[in-house]
Amino acid sequence: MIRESDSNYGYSLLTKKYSEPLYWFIRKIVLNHEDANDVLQDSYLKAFQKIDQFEGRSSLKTWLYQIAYRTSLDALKKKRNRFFLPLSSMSDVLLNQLKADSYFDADEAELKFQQALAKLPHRQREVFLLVYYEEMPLKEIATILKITEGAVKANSHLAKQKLKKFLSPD
Amino acid sequence: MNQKENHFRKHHKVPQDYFEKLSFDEFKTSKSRSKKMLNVQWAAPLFGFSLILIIALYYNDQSLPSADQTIDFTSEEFETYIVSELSSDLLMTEYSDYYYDGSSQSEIEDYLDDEIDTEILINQL
Repeated sequence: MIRESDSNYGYSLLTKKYSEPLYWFIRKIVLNHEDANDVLQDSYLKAFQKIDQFEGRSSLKTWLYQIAYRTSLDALKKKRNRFFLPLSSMSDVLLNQLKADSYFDADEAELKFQQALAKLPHRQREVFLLVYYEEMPLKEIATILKITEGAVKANSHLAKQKLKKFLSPD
Repeated sequence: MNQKENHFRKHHKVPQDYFEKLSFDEFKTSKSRSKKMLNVQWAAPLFGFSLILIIALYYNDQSLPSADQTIDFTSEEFETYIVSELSSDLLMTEYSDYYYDGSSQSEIEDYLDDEIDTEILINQL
């Protein structure tokens, strides 16, 4: 039997180990610190509430990333509804927030790269974030995004092609 | 941490000691802004409804002349105004046969003595 003090200790270890990588994963999706902080808190709250449902079919890390990914998307959807915008206009909102974020240390190259990333369809963008920054294996990405490995490959390829086009000088 | 991740973190900063301050106690109950804020999905319709209500009340108020406004009615318009705006109880005494409220004959007569004489009012305009 697990005592409450034991489970609290377990949760403390969990947050200590995964907070930083999860935060950075979320920050790349929502693009500003305040939203990333909110999404991180909400993701942990969901994870603590649903820990009994974790069946161990994927690693704990993958499961947490899955929750963080879903919670990030929910946050973006809420933001889109708030501004009564179609999903396609979301990139402008994200980029405006990024520019206004006091924690974004403006750099022209980075801003241009984030602009190009924001223009990608959301699925391609998320696949690219996990491939490029996290360097995750395809299988793990497929589990987090709940798509097939083939779809991961296709989305990654399309994202790279579009980014090349966006970032080319002409 | 790879070079690309490092580059991202270099340009997207966090508050000082942010990760050191993150703890399980903080996550036990969500303190996120989204939970504290009014659900904005309801805010817009609520705002719209309030605006319509304010406009409706404003125009409703405008339809009644204020105390210092001159009433420039024709006799016919004035009668319509009196009928629609003055206390219906007052006017109903005139038709007490139809709207008899149980008052005695003397009570009705006393009341009619004090009643606004529409004819006099019309002539004064």
